Amino acid sequence: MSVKAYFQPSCREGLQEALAKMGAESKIVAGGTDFMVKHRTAPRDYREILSLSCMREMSLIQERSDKCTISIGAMATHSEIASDPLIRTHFPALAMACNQVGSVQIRNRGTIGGNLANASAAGDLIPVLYLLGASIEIFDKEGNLRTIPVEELILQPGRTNLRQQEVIWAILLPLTDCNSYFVKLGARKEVTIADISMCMLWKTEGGRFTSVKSMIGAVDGKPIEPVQIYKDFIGKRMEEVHLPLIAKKLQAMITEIRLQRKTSSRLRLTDAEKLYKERAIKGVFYDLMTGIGF
Amino acid sequence: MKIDFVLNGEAVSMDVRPDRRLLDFIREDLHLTGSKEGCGQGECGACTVILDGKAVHACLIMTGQLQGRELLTIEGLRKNGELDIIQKAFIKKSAVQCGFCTAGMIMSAKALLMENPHPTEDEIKRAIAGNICRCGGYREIRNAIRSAAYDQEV
Repeated sequence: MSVKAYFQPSCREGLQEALAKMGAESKIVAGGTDFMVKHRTAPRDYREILSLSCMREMSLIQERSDKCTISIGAMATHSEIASDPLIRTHFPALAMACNQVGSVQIRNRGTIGGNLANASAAGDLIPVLYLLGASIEIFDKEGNLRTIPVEELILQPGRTNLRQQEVIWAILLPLTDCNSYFVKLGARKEVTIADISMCMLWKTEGGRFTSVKSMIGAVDGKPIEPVQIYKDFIGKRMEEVHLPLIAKKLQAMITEIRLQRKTSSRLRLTDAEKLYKERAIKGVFYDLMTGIGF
Repeated sequence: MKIDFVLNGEAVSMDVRPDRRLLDFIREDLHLTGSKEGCGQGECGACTVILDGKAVHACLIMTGQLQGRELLTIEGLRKNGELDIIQKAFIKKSAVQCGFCTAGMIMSAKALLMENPHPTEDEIKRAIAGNICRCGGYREIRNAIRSAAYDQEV
């Protein structure tokens, strides 16, 4: 790789200048843990590279002045988010998701902004950000900030609607009095890409569920929301929730996704492998329920 | 591009190709060949170095990103001719077979003990989860890290 220009601004003005120079042959690099791997397997000659490495302002995790939003700078690493007291207190599912990305070395470099911009179907943080109703703040070459719901950012796996001269600036999370939890299933216990991830946001009053939301990741191009299971929780005490019934509904949901698929996998899958996720979702669901106290 | 950084405790100012892979810069430009390349994809951990006190894969960093930071490589562990306690423990506990994973393992252990001087067994396992040993010497490696953390004398 031999770039013509390498930008590494440390302030907003410098970032604006660099963004103004971004074109079709440019690349914006956050932590580099996805970029450097892709670049090795499929190298491209980039004309310009913009490294966000010195944008310290983009690493901050803080409460906004409206007192009902936490903002996470796009350059905050998985390690920083997983260990941040604000995140651990208010959004445990996000701390858990960040804590299970890759290895220590990956978590020390990979960023939340990069995870979003990479828009992998198996991206660990994405279902949690959908769960928590995240908004994405985007910075452009004029220094403007625009905010969009996270659902509008990702178009399809690997593609976001970020324009060429824009960068994800921060992720905004509305404070909630709900609790949250995240589980992930992969080929191995650690350092693994998610085969299925599932997270839940819930509230109980007097021991009964009053609010439930869930997202499932890595089973489709974008996270899916199993709305059909919510009524099986609302108004019930934990011991009254019929887990096997809910597990069956989730299985049916994944089966439906498989049957709707128009293109077959590039991989040569055995029949057992094709059915893996709709079988495994039950175990993932039970792991999640154990985690939240069942 | 000129960058200023700290290398194994010494302030350095150098002209570098910013998009050059840090691992290549360390091995070929700085001639510090202790860090190894096992996969080049952030999977094996053989290239692990410590940047601003955190263990990272040198194969996934661009040299320009060193600007303003502190880099510690395996070569930087020895002080005044004396090996670091972790290095001594690896020798004492037979945690080195072919040696290829060793530098990375030691740097992951160093990063762990810098932050958490008395780790639990699970914390030790987690710290080296990103380091692969093809010889299968994990038990001895864990013994060495535990020894470095807890034994009065190694």
